[in-house]
Amino acid sequence: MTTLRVVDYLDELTALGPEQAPPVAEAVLDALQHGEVELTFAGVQGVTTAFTNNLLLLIFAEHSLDALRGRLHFRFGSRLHRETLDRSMRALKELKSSP
Amino acid sequence: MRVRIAIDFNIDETVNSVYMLSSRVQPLFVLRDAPHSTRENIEVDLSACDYFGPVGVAILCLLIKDLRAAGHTVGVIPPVRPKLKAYAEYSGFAELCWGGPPPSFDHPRNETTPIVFATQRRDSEIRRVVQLVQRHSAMNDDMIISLQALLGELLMNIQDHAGAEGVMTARWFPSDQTVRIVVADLGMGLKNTLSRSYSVRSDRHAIELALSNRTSSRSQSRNLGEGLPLVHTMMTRNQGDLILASGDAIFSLIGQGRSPTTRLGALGPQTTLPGTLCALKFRIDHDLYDDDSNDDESGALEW
Repeated sequence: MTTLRVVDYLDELTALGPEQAPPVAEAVLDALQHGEVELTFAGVQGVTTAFTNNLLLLIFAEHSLDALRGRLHFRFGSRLHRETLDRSMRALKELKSSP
Repeated sequence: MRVRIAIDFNIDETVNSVYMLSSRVQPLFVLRDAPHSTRENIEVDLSACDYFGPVGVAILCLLIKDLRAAGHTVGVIPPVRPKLKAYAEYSGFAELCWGGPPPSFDHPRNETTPIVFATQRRDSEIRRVVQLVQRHSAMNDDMIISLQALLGELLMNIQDHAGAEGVMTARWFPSDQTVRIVVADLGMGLKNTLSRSYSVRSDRHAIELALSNRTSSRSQSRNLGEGLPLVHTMMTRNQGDLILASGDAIFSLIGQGRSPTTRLGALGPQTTLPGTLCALKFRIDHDLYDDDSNDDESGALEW
């Protein structure tokens, strides 16, 4: 399994804007070609839904939700990180299931 | 013609203050929005005001800047009280309004971040607020992460939805260990923004929608409508205060221990606030996760 650290793709310790998501998404998509991926938020400070929304939209534009279940894992540095990504994931699922 | 507006009351970070100030400057909002009005000579008199904080600075700075940009002459009579004059300087209000000295953020006793005008999220300003609080109080990692996320969410809203320049200003209050932050704009407002994607009946309905999960203006493809609900959740957990005002409606969450009170209603008779104002009273002394829950932050996220 490949472990990727969000913090390695940021210019600073925060992930507050959607414009910071593409390099992370690109690295995830590349690594997924070779197997399971764990993306860790450890070491990142503030994270917004603008970042996590864009990150998930970019990753799941190329894969269905089912296709990445069990292949992409997330690890978090704080409960707020987890909650923020969880909100984006739920919103994305709703978006994908809406006609 | 001379238009004179006296701010002869105090402006705190409360629902009543947002109403009082919006109501008093209502004629100036009308002037600002009248494209062909004659150029007026406006005087804003603060000499009888004993206190104003970030709410007063945000609304007055935005309004005065807009009025001047529209060609009106705006003079401001400064407050008299020395403490308030000092705050006006540190917040950048004095420099903008009566050509006072520029703010000196690096002064060791400074408790204010100077007002910043922006149409884009600026992470440097978010860092400044965190730096200000850290200067006065020890913050744990959860606090830092939450404060950065809160500010990031609010500034993203200006960037995505305001359609106008917004402001952010913050002030540290040692007496109750809170940082009071206002992010505001006099732009489109929540109702107009959400009307792109929803049938919005009123400003009150717009606030209700904005605080609901997964209500997004879809102004950008990446918007999934999670920002303001997350702010609401975080402020509830913080047991702090949150005020969200737009048009003729205002929402408040007043943290009172474990029984916060929320209210959504009219701003006040014949009073509207253009754009959107969000005021936070964030408690630094409060543990955000005091429930000892087994919520494992490091575990995998299932979907």
